Amino acid sequence: MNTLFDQFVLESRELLEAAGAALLRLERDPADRVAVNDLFRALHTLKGATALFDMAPFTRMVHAGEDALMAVRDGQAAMTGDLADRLLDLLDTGAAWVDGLEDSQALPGDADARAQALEARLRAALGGPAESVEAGTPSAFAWVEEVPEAERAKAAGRTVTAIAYDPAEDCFFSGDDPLDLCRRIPDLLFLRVEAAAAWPPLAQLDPYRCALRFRALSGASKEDLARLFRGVPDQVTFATLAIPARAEPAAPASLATAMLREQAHILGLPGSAEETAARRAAVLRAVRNILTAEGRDAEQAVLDRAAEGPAEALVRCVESLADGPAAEADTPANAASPARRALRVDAERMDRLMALVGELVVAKGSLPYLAREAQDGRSAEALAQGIKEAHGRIDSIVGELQDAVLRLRVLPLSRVFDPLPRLVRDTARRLGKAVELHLSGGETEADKDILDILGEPLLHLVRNGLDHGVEAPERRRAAGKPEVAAIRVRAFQDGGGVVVEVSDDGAGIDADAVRRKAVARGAVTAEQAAALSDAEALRLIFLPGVSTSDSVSDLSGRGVGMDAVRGAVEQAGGRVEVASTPGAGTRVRLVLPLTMMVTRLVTVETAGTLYGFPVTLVTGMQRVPHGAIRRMKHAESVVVQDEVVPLLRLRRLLNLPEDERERKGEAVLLVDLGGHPVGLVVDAFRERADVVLKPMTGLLARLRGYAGTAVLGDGRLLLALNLRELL
Amino acid sequence: MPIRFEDRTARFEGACTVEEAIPLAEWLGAAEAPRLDLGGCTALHTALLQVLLAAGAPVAVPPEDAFLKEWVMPVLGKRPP
Amino acid sequence: MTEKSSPQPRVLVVDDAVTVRAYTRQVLEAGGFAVDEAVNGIDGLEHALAATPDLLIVDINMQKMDGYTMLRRLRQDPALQDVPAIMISTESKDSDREKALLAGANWYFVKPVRPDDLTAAARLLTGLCGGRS
Repeated sequence: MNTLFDQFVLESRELLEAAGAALLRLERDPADRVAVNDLFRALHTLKGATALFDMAPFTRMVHAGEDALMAVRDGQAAMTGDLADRLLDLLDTGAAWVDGLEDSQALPGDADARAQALEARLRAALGGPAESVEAGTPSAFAWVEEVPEAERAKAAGRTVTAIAYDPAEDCFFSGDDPLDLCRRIPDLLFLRVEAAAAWPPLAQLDPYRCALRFRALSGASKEDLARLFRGVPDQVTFATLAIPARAEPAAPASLATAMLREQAHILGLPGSAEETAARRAAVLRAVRNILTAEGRDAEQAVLDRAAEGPAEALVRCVESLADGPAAEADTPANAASPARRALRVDAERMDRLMALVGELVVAKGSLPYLAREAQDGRSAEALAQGIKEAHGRIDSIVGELQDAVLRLRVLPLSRVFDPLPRLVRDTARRLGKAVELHLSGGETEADKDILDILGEPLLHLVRNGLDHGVEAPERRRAAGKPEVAAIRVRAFQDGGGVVVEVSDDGAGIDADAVRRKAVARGAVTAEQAAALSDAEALRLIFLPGVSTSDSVSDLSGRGVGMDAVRGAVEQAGGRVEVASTPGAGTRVRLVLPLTMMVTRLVTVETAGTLYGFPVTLVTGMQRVPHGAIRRMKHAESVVVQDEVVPLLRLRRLLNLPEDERERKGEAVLLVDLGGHPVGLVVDAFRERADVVLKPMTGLLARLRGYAGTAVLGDGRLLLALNLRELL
Repeated sequence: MPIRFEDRTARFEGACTVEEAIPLAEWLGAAEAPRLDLGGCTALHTALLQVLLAAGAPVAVPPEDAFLKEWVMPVLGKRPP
Repeated sequence: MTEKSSPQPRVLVVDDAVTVRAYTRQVLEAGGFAVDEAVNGIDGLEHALAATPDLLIVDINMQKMDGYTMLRRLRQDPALQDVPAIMISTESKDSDREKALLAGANWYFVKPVRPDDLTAAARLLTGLCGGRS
């Protein structure tokens, strides 16, 4: 039951993501049949999954979405921005519910009400001002289903107008020639002339009474056609229809190929004559069915011939069938979700790990042998040689193992790119700007932790570009720029690091404005600002409180600024670069290490500075009253859990002035130095922190006692101490 | 003279109009194994089309006109009983 | 023997877990199949003999009679020996896959199976074409 539920959580997330992506594609191009189908399929599958569990509101909500899409797919409703908004709402709600389900296995209390509200809004978006089909009942256009494949293919994936023209019997007398009218239909895709009733014998036919009717599909708009048929409005009905693209192959080709290979394999399995004959019969039928399902009936003959020949011939035949359609089947296979692709990569990496573990087991095997040799009194030289060899082997395996484990943590950057299309779409819509997002390098890989840190700054930079960088359409027009702005997000690997670049072709940053703002905010003095080059002045935007826009918009002005971006990136051991050309755009570059070693530190404050100790060394924190501290000569100690623990003062260790302030007791950090407990007096305890330690550079590198520096989330600098060296 | 009625063949030429409907129906009713030559026909009035459909006479020479060839010939070809 | 491409191929699902059967039924019915259920190997054999299915989907670990035994018996019956079969198990080892194939399976899935994969496999093994959703 639980695996089924976990499966549901996993799958519904995937489906919601797939649906979201398809919806964005669809909104961009309402005629994108593949997108409609993807979206429909995702919702349909999701509905089925929710129905497995007791979550009626969820099922109901998804069902409403599915209905809406069906209307779009069948051409009874248009894909409007409004409808897209509602559907996005639905997907968001679904995602929130799935999160909740994972935690508490239950839908929120208001789920039913929400589902109802969403359902109602969807219906409104469909029925209201949407350009839905008119009066003509759908059944009047049932013939569209019967349009032959050849004609249908021409209209496939297009939005067309269906015309049902039933001329009045006496229309010839008003000078109408219906066939001629049909000849003038622009972009005629299909025309069927049919008898309104069975033909009477020729002698009884009144040639002057029209007995024909016409069914047509045209690529022209309803308005254009209405103009053409304006003389006979009572005899004609139109419907805007979307003709679905041709049905896709049922199964991804890769599965068919794998299955065919497996059948060839089965033919080679051992067993009694009876068993192999039965397997052969099942394989033949399976292969035939697979060929049928794949629309490769023509190849059945090949199989039949091979089945009459020797066993090997049949195996070869099935193998070649497996290789057969690989080329043309490429496209549908690509539709496989990226999530699954990622999983496959993971599996490969797991395999590599397993292989390495195997090698390690083999290498380990040489050790008992060496032990026996030592016992038997082999020469030290020979032993040393053996141990060196074993060490070499194990060392290289361990190195590879480390690398393999690191790779397990490595993920494609597309993970952090995923939310961007939606962000850009929503934001651009809200701001009334036309923006095209260009993503590239999503396949670039980086450590999972780097991705986690990258997410927020990336969103912020893109939002910033949209809000402050990209100009309003009219300004762009006036500046002679294309009305649709471009925001590019590019990722690539560079010299052991990963670079993510966010650029826009907007107005650029005015260095003087930044100088003025920085001075106004007191971040720099006027003299300092004036002395900066333009490139240096741009870097001022990374100081707290300095922003180029005077108005705080609801988009970028949420208290997070470029200083927060810088903070997050530096915390991960990276850096930020900015370049801008007024009038031409801005480029911000985040340069991050490929991996980062996160160290968890206990931080303390002493003499106004933050210091950190690896959490693994710290065994406790205590406030010790002065009276409890024993003094013997210069040495101090304290009793902790019946044990006498030497007490050291951090200020003294670091040659800092004594703390003269009045206080009741001492803050003592208890650390364990390889079995030797030590108490360390600090000024105050601070929070724990996960940091990426950067080694000390320059002159500082020579100082003993420091493990490195780190930047905290709020930008403060922290010194990590190496106690062993200090003591 | 848009339709020329010969012994066994009716030749359609240019734009064939509604006025030809009665003569065509009569000729079709009278002729033995009538043949139709639509090769030169550039426009066929609806009234003529329905006469041809009702008569079910075979088309010996299909029209060269693109519209007629694509959309009208198929119905003329498979004549209903 | 049954026709190979009837409009609604019949799938016999043999599994002792009711949720899994319900789930599988759900998936397959959405994919255009008619589904029969059996709760163990013996039950499965009886169902298969009573009405020849177009495809078998068989769990391995079941009470009374396991999937291997059931498939082996089935392959001995002239009327049932060529019915395509999928085995489903939580075991992902190659040796388990091989065991299933030796017993007479045409395909092997490791649980949990994604609905799309299950439907696609069932379509292929029954010769059902078309991309209805």
